[in-house]
Amino acid sequence: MTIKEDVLYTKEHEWVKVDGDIATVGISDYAQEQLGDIVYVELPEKGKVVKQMETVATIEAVKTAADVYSPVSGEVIEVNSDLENKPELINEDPYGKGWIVKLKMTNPDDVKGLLSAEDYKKLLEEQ
Amino acid sequence: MKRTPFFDFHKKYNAKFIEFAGYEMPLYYTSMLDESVWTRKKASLFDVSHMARFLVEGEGSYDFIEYSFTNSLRKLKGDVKAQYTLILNDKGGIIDDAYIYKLEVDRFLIVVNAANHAKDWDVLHERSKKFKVSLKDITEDMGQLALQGPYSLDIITNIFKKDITSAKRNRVFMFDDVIITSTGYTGEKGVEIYGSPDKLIKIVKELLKNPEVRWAGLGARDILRLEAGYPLYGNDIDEETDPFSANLGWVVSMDKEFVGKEALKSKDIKVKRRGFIHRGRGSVPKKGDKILLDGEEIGYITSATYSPNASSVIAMGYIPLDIKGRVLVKSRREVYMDITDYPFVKLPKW
Repeated sequence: MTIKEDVLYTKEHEWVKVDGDIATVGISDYAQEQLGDIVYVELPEKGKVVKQMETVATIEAVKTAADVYSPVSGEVIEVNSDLENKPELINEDPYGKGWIVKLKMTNPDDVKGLLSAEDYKKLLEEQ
Repeated sequence: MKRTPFFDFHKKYNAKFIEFAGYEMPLYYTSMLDESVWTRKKASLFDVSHMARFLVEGEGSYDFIEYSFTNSLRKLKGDVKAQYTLILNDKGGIIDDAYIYKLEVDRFLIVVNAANHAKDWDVLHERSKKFKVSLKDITEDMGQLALQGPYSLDIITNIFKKDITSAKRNRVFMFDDVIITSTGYTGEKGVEIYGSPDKLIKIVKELLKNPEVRWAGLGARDILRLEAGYPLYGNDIDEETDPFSANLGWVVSMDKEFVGKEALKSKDIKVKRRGFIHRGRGSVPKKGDKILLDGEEIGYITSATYSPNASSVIAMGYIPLDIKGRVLVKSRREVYMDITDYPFVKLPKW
């Protein structure tokens, strides 16, 4: 299992990479491993506005479904439409080709409450 | 929690475990989807030792089985020595589905669902009192494996040096104290293997030397049985379901006496277990989801999955007879599905 170094995490196992006011969001390697084979991803419409830790997408695995919470507030400006036909990209490459949405952030301070890779590692060790 | 004789293998092959019917069982090793695809292309090894196994012996065996189960042993002719069958209650509801193997004259192996182990034992033990039979629970004395997939018969032939490459469905073979039956829960060619834990562990070691053989878990087993259109007890059939609605009339012999027959005679069949398919990717319905036609609720889903071999969302459920076309399934979100017949994948004729 890998924990990517240059991103921030939520306690709910999403990751976010912030570049200026653009935030790219996905789920961690740990999360995809827990879910198992992902068979469907319900993506939001472009333009959807979400608050921090609101549901931005839903992932269905063979035996379970899980909401993806947005690590930051913002407007959805891009969704990974490759997931429509290849949801398994999240299993195969959770920090890369398995990204889920890009948001234009509305509150830069949102990142302050997020976990560093080191904090996230500690969280997983406690579980 | 109970463990099967093969628990150490599962650990070694990195199984993710689930609790099922009191057993710690492998859900998957690598991926439920990959294991399902591999099974239909090569050969997969399943540990199904959690299934309950009863041995019936004695001169009343035949009559006891005819009375207690819906299918008829008269259909076991020539090389056909195994059959799918049902145990009914006196209202015609399904207590369990089962497989019966004729080992010898007056000696039968009965295999039932792990989740119904105690219930079935009580029912069958009670029914056995009317007959000159001995009924034994031999679950703990035996392991049970399934090798399923197109390469299976060749692989078994190589290991046992007995040619079963052209075996048809429902045969029973005895090779060195091991029972091999051409049966399974995937619809593919394959075998189930019954024997002492020691013997079976040796066979597993032999099987795993072959790179075409991979472990598959209960997750793949559920996907594969759904693709084949086989019901799962507790989901698709239960004590409220009669065999005709469940589309299992083909294992009910109305020309003999058995528990539940009288109730079946007067059953008014209004619904049927059908298949539903949404081609491509989509949200997967759950057991209990409502099925709507033209805005009106007409039935419910009993099981569903994404099928990697049909590249579709597939489901089973109950709707009134003679309905055709497309229905709306109200799941976490709404999914349109076409009513269809199962199997959902092409299965070998054998």
